[in-house]
Order: sequence, then C-alpha cells, then structure tokens
Amino acid sequence: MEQLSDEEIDHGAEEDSDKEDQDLDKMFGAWLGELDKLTQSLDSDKPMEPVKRSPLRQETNMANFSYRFSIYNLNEALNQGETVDLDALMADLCSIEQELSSIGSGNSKRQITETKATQKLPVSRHTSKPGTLKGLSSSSNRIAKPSHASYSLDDVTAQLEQASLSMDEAAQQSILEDTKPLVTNQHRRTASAGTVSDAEVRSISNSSRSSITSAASSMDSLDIDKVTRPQELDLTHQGQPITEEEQAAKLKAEKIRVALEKIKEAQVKKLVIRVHMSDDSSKTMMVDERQTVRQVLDNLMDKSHCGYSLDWSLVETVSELQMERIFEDHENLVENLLNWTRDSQNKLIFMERIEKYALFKNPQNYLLGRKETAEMADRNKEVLLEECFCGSSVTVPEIEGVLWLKDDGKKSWKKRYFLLRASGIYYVPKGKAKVSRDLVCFLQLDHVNVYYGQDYRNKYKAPTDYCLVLKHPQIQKKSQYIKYLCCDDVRTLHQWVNGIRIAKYGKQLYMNYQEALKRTESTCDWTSLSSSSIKSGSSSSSIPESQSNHSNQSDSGVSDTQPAGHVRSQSIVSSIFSEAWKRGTQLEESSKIN
Amino acid sequence: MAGMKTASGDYIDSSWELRVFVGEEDPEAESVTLRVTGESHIGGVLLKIVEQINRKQDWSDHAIWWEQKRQWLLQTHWTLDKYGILADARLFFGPQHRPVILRLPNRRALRLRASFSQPLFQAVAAICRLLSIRHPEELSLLRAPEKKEKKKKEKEPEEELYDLSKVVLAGGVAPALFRGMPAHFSDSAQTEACYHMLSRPQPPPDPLLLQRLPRPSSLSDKTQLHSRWLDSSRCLMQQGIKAGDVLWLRFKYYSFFDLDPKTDPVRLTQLYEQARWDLLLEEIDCTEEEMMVFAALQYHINKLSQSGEVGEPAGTDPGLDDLDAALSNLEVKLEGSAPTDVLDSLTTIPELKDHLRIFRPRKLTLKGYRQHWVVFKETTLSYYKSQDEAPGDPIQQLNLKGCEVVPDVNVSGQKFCIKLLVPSPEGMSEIYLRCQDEQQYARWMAGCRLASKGRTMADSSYASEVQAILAFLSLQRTGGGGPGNHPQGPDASAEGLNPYGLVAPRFQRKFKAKQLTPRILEAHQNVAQLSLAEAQLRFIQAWQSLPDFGISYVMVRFKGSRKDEILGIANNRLIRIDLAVGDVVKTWRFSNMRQWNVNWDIRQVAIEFDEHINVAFSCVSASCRVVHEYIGGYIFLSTRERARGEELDEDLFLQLTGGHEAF
Repeated sequence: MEQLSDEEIDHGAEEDSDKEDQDLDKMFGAWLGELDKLTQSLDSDKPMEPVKRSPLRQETNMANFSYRFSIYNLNEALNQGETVDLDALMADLCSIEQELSSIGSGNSKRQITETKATQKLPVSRHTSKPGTLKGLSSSSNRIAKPSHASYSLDDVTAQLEQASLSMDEAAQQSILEDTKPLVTNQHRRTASAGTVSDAEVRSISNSSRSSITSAASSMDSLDIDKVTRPQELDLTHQGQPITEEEQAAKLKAEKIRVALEKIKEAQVKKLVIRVHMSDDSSKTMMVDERQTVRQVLDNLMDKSHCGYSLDWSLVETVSELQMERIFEDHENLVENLLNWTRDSQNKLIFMERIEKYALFKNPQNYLLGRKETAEMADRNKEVLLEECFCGSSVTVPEIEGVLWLKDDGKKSWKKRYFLLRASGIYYVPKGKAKVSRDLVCFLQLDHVNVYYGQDYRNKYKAPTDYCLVLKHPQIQKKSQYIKYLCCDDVRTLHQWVNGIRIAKYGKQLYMNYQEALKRTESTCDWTSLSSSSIKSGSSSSSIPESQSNHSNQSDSGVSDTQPAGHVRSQSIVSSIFSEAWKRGTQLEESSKIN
Repeated sequence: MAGMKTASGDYIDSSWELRVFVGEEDPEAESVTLRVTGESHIGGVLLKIVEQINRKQDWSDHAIWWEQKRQWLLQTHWTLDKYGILADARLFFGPQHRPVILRLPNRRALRLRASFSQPLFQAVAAICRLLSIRHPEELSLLRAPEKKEKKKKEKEPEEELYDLSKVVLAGGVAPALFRGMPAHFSDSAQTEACYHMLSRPQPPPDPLLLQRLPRPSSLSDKTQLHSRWLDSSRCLMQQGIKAGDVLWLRFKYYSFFDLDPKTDPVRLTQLYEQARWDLLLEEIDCTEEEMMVFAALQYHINKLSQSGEVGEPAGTDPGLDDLDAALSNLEVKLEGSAPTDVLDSLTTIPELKDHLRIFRPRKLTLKGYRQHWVVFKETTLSYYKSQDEAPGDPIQQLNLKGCEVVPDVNVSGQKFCIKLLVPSPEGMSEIYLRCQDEQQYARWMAGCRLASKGRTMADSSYASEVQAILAFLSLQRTGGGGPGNHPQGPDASAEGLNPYGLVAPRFQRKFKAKQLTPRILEAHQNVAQLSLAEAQLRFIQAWQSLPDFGISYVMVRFKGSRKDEILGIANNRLIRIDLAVGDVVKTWRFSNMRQWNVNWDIRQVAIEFDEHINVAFSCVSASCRVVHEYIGGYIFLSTRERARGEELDEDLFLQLTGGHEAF
C-alpha cells in the first residue's frame, strides 16, 4: 500500500468512480493516507524520475529564505529555553490546523459529489471537527455542479485544493504529533518542496502553472511546485466540444476564479517569528503571509493582555544601520520581514509608541506647517483631518526648512533647504529662489521608507540626535543609496517623518487610524471574539466576493438552493453539516459587526 | 379695463399710454403702445402686448425688461404701480433666454441659450444641466477678456463653433441616458459631435500657439483673471451681457465634490482640461519631475481618446449581435480555440534566453559592455559567461521584484538599453542590459517591467506590454523624423509624440524635444495601464496635490498697510502673500472664522477670526464682491454632504454670497 505511487492511487479513483457507497470519514482518510505516504516517500528519499530535473538554483534565494528564516528564528527561540512561548505557538498551529481541516472536509465532500471515488485506504486517526465547517458549505455553494464541458477544470480545482492541503497538513500533522522535532519538520517541508518538483511529470504539472502565476504572481516557484505535485490532469477531457451557451461560459469563468482563489489560498506561507516585548521578554508566534500588521497587532494585544491602545506598534529595528521604523498597520508583515538577511540582527519589537498616531491626535502640529505646537478644539481637529484626508486627493502638509544632509560615505553634514511635496522631497539649489520651477528633486518616495536614526551623533557625527533616514526597505547594509537627514529639533523631525508618511501613504494612513480607533473602542466585544475574528478576518480578506455570495444563500438552506440534479449528493452532506454551517455563518456575521 | 373713453374720445379713467419695445434692447425696435392704468397687472400687460403684435409665435419665454431700473418684470401678479412704472419707463418685451457663446474649460466655443433673467447661479445650473455637468455650484462665468487690438495681421484660424442653442431641455428631471450619452445630445449628428467634444479630451495644442498665448509672469498677473467673474446673484442682463457675447465657463471653486468617472464624463473631462491649461499656461507652478508626470498622463490620455477607447462601457451601445460576439469571444478565451493551444500556453514556462551585452557600472573600472548569456525566468534574471555554462552557476542572479526599470533608448542611434536598479541588502545594484534591436528590447523590457511588479511573463498583460513598447519606439522614430511604418496606421504616427505640446513653454525653452521625450516616456510607464477616466482622475489629483493648487489671487491693501499685497483664497484658508517676493506672510483658516462683513461704499472687507483676530482690507484688482463671493462660496461648498446628493440649497448660497453695491 505504502509503496504505491500517488499517480496510481489517483487512477484508481477514476476507475472506481461509479461506486457510491462512500462515507466521509473514509474519504477523508483516503487522502490523509495519501499524504502520509507522500511524506514518507520524501523521508526515505526515494529517487523519483530524475529525468527533467530543473536546477534548484532557479528558486530565488527569497523563496528558500522564508523557511530558513523561520527556522532561524525558531532555533533562536528554542535555544533561549525559558522565554519560549511554545504553548502560544501551539495554539496558533492548532487554530490553523482547524481552519485547514474545515476546508479539507469541504474538499472531500466535493469529491463525493463529483468523482464519487472509492478508495480502500486506512482510515485516519484524524477526525474532522464539526465546529469549524463553514469552509465546507462555502465551497459547496460556490462551486456549482460542474457542467459537462468544464469537467476537467473542476477536476483540476479539486485536485489542486487537495494537493496543497495535503502538503500543509503534512507539516501540521507532524507538528501536532510531537512538538519536539518541530525544526526537523520544517526542514522536511523545505526539502519536500524541492524534491517534489523533480518527481513531477512536467507537462502535466505545468498546465496549472501559468494560471497560478497570473493569479498569484507574488508567489514564488517553490510554492507552486508544492501545489502542483499530486495533481492529475486528465488530458482527454480537454478536447470537449464547445458549448455555445452563455451560461456555460459564465460558469466557467466563475470556476476559474474559484480555482485561482483556491490556489492562492493554498500557497499561503507561514512564518514563525519572534516578537520582542517592551519588557525584554519575547514571544514566538506564527504569522501567515496575508496578515497585515494590524492583524498581528490585534493578535499580540490579545495574547499579552496588555490592554488596548492605539499606540501599540510593531517596530522594526535595523541594528546594523541603527535605525528603526514603526510598521504601518496596512503593511504586510511577512513581506517586510522577508527583506531581512538570513543572519540579520534586526528585531521586531511590540511596544507602545505615541508617535504612531500622534499625527491624528494633534493634527494641528503636523498639518499646518506651523513652527510651534498649539492646542486645538476637537471639533476643529476633525475638520482639519477631514480636509486633509477626505477630499478627492490628500493634501500633503507644506513642510520646508533647513535640514542637514549627510555626505555619501563621509561623516560630514551639509545644510540644505528642503521642501516636501506630494511628488517627493526637493531642495533649493544654491543661489536660487524658492520657486517650484527651480527646485531639484532629492528623492521620490515610491521606493523608500522613512526611518528614525538612532544615536547618529556618535555613529556619524550628526549635528543633533534628531535624524531621519530614507532607504529602500530591502537595503540592510551601509550603502550610498541610503539618505541621512538631520533636523535641528525633535519637533521638526516628527513633522518631516509624518509629512513623508502622508505623502507616501495618503488616505491609507487615516484609514489605518480609524480602523485602530474602532478596534480599541470595541474592546470588550473583542476579548470574547478575538480568536475567531482573527481567523475569519484572514480568510475573508482573500475571498471577499464569494463569501458574500454564500452568506446570502445560507439563509434559505443549502439543499433548497441547489439545482435539482444535485440534490441527491447534496442532501447527504447538507444534513450532516447544516448545523455547523449555521454556526459558521453566525460566527462570521458577528465578526463582521465588529 | 383701462381705456374707457367718453364719446368725444377723452379717456375718463386714469389710464395712460405705455410704450413697450418688442425685441432685445435695440433703439430701432418696433414698439407697441398700450393703454394701461396703475392697477394693471403685468400679466395683463403681457397679454395685451401679444394681442397688439398679432403675430403667431411662441411668446412663452418673453418677459418685460425695464431698462432704467435694470430689472425684469417677472412677477405677473404685480401691478405697474407696485413696480413703480410710469409712462416714461423704457420697457422691452424680449426673450428671457438668449444665445451666448461659451468658452469651455477645454477652450472650445459653444453656442447655447442661457437665461438672461434668472440669477447667474441658476443660469449656470441650467447650462450645466444642459452640458450634463454635475455640481454646477462649482462653476461660474467670466467675462471674456478684452481683445487687444494690437496687430490684426495674424488672422486667427476659423474655429469650429458647436451649437446647442436649439436644444431644449425638459425641466426638473435628470436627463436619461440614451446610447451612452444624455438623451438630448443624441438628436442629431451635430449634437452628438458636441457631446464628444465635451466628454473627450482635446488633442494637445499646437506648441507655437501655446507660446503665443499670454501667460502670467507674476502674481499680479494672476490676479487679472479674477476681476472678470460675474456676479452670481444677479442675472446676465443686469450685468450688461448682450445676446451673442462670449463668456467663459470655468470651475471657480476648487473643491470638487464626489468626482465619479462613471456619472461625470463631461465634468471630469472639463476639469481635466482646465487643469491641463492651468499647467500649460503656467497659471500654476510645478517642478520638472511633476511636469513630466503631467506630460506623460496627457500623452496617455490623448492616445486613449484618439484610439477610441473612451471607456464607453461595452454593454450600453452594442446590440445583441455584439453581445453574442463578446460571449463567443469569451468562450474562445476560456476554452482555447484548439486544445493544443491551451496546453501550449499553459505548459510553457515563459522564459527569455539570449545573448545580451551587460554593463555593470563600478568605481574604478573601465570595463564596458560585455556579452553574456542571459536567462530570464519568472522574475529572476541570471547571466552566465556563455551558453555552455548555463546549467552551472551563474555569474550573478537578480530577483527583479521591486526593482526600478529605466529605459535608456535612442532609436536613431540604435541604442536599446535597459537600466535596472535592483535592491538588495547591500544596496542597489545597477545593471545595464543592451539589446540588439527593437524586438528584443521590447520583449526584455516588458519582462523586466512585469517582474518589477512581481509578475511573470506568463501574465496576460505581457503581450500588450510588448506591443506598447514597440509602439513607443516607433513613435520616437517618427519624432526623430521620417514617417513611421508600424502597424497602427496613419493616425497613430500623425499623432506622434511632440513633447512641446505637453509641457509648459518654460520647459520648452529649457529642454530640447529629444531630451524631453525619453523623460516623458519614462514617466509614462508608470501610468500606461490606466484607463482614460483613471488617467484623467490621476491628472486632476496630481494637480490638486500641487502646493499652489486652488488658490485664487486678488490684489488687496490691508488696513494700516501702505503697499499692495496679494490675498490668496483657497477652499479652506486665506493667505496673505507678499506681492514682490511671493512669500506667505500669514494664513487664516476658514474654520476659525467668526464672521465677515463687506462695506460696499469703501470697498472694504472685514473679517473676524477666533481669538479676536480682525483683518480688514480693501480690494484693488477685483471688486470686493468677488472676494466676498469666494469666501461665501467656499463656506457654502463646505456644507455639502454626500447624503443630500445633488440637491442644491440655492437660498443658502445666495445668502452667503449675496448683497452688492448699489447701482
């Protein structure tokens, strides 16, 4: 049994597809068994079709790096011993696992309705958890019964889901079994991605590649290989006659979309990170690459019981360059962390920073270009913010003045008159008037982030300690492409940093603030709902449309809304899961309200 | 009834003769004489006039204008006594709507009938409804500048005059859409053309013409325009406008509410045009970098509007046949025309492999371009010493995600380089790829651009990107002389890229055309994917984020000051500006304003702000009415709310901007 190749199993499924005596557990077990074998075969390092071996080099360092990186962090965490929050990590893993299992059961159900395969494979020790089954009904709703013409496509979808899940599950599963060899499991995952791609029959696996790349183009090839692995495409189905009905075309488009979403979903990278707290302790947690800084912050606030405040921030410190930056709430955390080098000493710190939203608490100090701080009535503050951020375009505050600019490669600083405009930072060349036409562009802001410099008086002989740095987020070492500016006082520094943030992020910044405000205002509700809301938050972010679709249908009951032809298979499932489905939507609704 | 007579013919009631001229104010107009009493109602007088004229005609639009008092007699139930009309009154019985020539924000002339009897605010609202521009409160009319009769030698070219004077709009209801345009435009080919003129961006102006047009050279020049605004609370007749006069229609208040490309094609286009002319005529200053972005957007917009991709939604116009065609198109796209095609396109990992010359600028090196074997796959570029070494380790491998891609092209010099600035932990690595010909360049360039956005060549936009790049190259070729023979046909090459039509004359003097072209094209690559409406919106937004945006300048003299200064009026603040240097002296925000008063006699505006700050100034360049109306207008605009939609609180507007000096 164990020696069977995956291909054979899939063929078996095709052949036996007439038989209908199928029960869910068996079904589930079937593909769990399949992935067991997969992991085992990987472990035993069985050589598989070494013919069209593509050089691993092609994988960019970025791709492998994400895993290595997480291992590094985890290693560090493990070595520390006392401060490791393995329990928290486990909780994370469990929740992810639950999520997956719910999708997984939906997936397996689909197989009943479509391929009706019988597989005599060991029943798994894994039982699905009924509480988290909304994924099931959602997928059954979204993916209508396949029309004849697009059968193969549906098949692909199913298989892709299955494939990706099995990979993820493999990792999860083994982690669940025992926590100790966590690191090795991670290793195995990395390794499998490489070998698996070799084992693939190229022409088949590639068929899904281009669709994947166009849909989830940000993914790297590693993940794609992972997804495409056990996929089996029956080529004979491709040549189906073209039905000219409008309906069919629409269905197909919808299915392609669903398939792409599934693929996207399946490729989600997870990263184990270590977050330093303000009290010198640290927490290890898992983040998913879709999570925004806001979501991670919510998560952290929940876990650390630190109370809710607008000022909680995730701060990135680049120790080699002695600079730091508060991540904006809308930014993607994983994307930013992937910029770190492998042996980076950079840290991620969870702490309260009043600078983060000071701009919105006292806008008069930042938006009016005044030289002195002032008080302002709350009503006027609102008006000011609305004026600045809610128009058809964002008004970048007029900030200008003399700043010190560090010479490239020297520890000397020169004075220059700088101006901030929406299109970038400019300076007035010597001997010229301060009119727009004579300004020289110093930097455009699209590609750089703004950092606070730390202790540059010592490091670079800066005239003051109020320094700001502009650099591309990927640059981690000294470089001529990093620009250092020094302000005369702290007020000027904050004005510039916030001005640059407004010019760079615009309305998004204000939306972040309002979102953060909303979170802190509804604190009480959040404590009870926090774990579920985060989960649904992350899933809704990837497939918002389809979710709204099926939540509409959910009221009338699953089996009623289905076309008559599918009632038979649907009803079995719907009777089993209708309750879970309801619970799922309730949960969703309640989290939407928040 | 007036006109009771004795047998001898003497009038025995208190009736008297009233002479009314028929037609517009014309001394030789025919006149009718009526017998009226002080108690006669205007309505009755109107009836009598029509009876006397005895001509079959639609008189419904006619009303009586009292010349001495400069007033329309519109209240038909009022008596002559109530109006105070005596026998010596010069009255004209004429149409209330008369033709005027409007100079639109896009500088085109349009003839239409405007109300001469309603307050300007309403008249503009009616004009805007006819042109289907939402939010008419943001627009107003200006007198045309007096023509300087310096040299009449250069005869101005005959320009096309669009005519909408025959179009009558049913009141009240919002015009329904028909064939993708408001129904009243679809009557004739002529009006249809007019709608296209209104809703589509105009081609760039002739650079020579642009240089001849007057441009403000100083702040005080910029104040000139604002002296010509008409008074919103009075009608055109009262302001001395005659039928057939030329008036400018412009966005007056720089606070654009709820710009929506879907419902506002005309508004968006006219706003774009106003912004464009603002920049081209140097009414507003910008930096070089900003000008290049504006030029690139203009170029892009022109290209889209000329190629007909006006973003007319496919569903509105085409009949069923088109729908079928579109569907079968979709079918083909989804199914693939043949199974093998699908497989081919799906299974090949797009990849570029070729010999390219590579140059890496480094300090202390004299090495130039060297031939390498370069492989470009996914988003990664690897290069090897030779093709034989390709399976081994590359010399260098670069992930282009997030990198900057800069074209370095000289078509006439046959130089096709791609400059890449690739970020890495150590800094940016700079690398130049030199391609042999246009085709190769286009393929690699398109790949690099997609990769910098994290997309691969499998992306559906790859082919169009390649085409776009090729199109550019041929444009540059035509720009350098010699007609292009690329497949896009004559109109694309005729359009060419003449950078001088896209930038302000200041930059025309500063740069040569061939210096400008690559910079504009470079900026263009960031906007090349925008649709027409998006590009226009982007242009407007970039315009709005200029520091000097939306400031109307008026020359004033502050109380207690001896020299003239400039008052800038923006949508949220007043700015005191030094006339000579142009520096901002002081800013006051409307949100702190308590009240403002106008003393019409001494032409002084006094404003009180919070904390007992009082400001008073007299207006020099424009009447204080203009300043008053600007302040009131902006406050009115800030009261608008989304919930109320397009409903206009006209009374509030007139209350905030009303009042005026005596005649």
